[in-house]
Amino acid sequence: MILARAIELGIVNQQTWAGLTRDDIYWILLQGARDQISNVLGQLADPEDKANQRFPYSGDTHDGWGLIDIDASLEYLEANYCPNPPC
Amino acid sequence: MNLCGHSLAYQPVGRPIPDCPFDPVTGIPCDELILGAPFPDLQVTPPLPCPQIPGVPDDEAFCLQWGTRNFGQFVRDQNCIAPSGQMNNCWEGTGVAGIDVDVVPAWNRTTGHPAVGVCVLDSGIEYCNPDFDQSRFYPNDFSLTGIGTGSIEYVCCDFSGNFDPPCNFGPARDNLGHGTFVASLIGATSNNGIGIAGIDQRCRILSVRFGGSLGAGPLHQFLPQVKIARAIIALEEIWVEVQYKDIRIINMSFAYPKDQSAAAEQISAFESVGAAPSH
Repeated sequence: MILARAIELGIVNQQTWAGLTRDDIYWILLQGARDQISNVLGQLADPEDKANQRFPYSGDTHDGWGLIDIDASLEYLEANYCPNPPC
Repeated sequence: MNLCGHSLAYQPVGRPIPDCPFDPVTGIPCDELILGAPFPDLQVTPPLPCPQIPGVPDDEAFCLQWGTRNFGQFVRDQNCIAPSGQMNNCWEGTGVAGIDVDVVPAWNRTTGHPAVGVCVLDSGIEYCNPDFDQSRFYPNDFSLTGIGTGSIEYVCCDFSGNFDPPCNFGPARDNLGHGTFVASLIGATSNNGIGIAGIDQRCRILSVRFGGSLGAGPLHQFLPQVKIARAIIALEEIWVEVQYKDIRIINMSFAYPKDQSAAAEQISAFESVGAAPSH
């Protein structure tokens, strides 16, 4: 959806795919998300995270409550990447 | 990195659409598949009918898509045991209003773009599901569902004939259900009165089957090295084939052991050039 909106706004060229990197998209998702997942790799777990070990071999002992908010991420995209504001 | 040490020799196989009379793997007529699973894009039979919500898609089961729009409705309880004794196969409890991906207002900004391709690297897709717009599927999908033996060498699928039995290069139809479910969440047709509403109404979808219920066993029962090797082969194929150049998102709804770093390396390679695997 972020890519789609970015194409519509002229941020991303659909022929070359230049305009947004994978890191950009990840950042946009983070800015819209309502909570983040902490995977406890050397860090304290978010207290709202749920203890679990669904895949014992993964080393990740918590399920997070990270919640992507598509509308908020698109709003962030429009506010910060729009080539010809207002979008 | 290529586990086979050479370029892949096979060609993707086109799907038998629009009639798709039978599943090429199971041989089951498509109509039976549909009739046997009235809501294959939901995996389990939902408690329909449920109240329709004004102002949102009229899809029959949209009211159960709590992850898409949560108004406190029934949710699928993962700890629930159905009367049949089957785990996870029931709907009960209530959702928490507002805990969703907030896509309904997002649809006022965009409903997707046909230039964006999404690969569903999974158990295939049941194209006959009437909740799909077949024009949105790539004409050439591919399958890496071979006969799982536990040997990585045996999943280097090419046409050199140096393995036995051969891999199945048939169309990437779904004989498990998981891939269809995932593809539906991504792009099932919205506002058609049936099934569910996908998040993206315009993206194109590529089915790549690397697991299924026959030959190699259910997706979740794969020997890890077989599963990872197939996933890598599929990723490489998507990477090199010009017909898949618009694939910008690869959905991988599975896990792999942390000591199977090959898949992680391949994913990192994609990320380094701007593709965005979803995993």
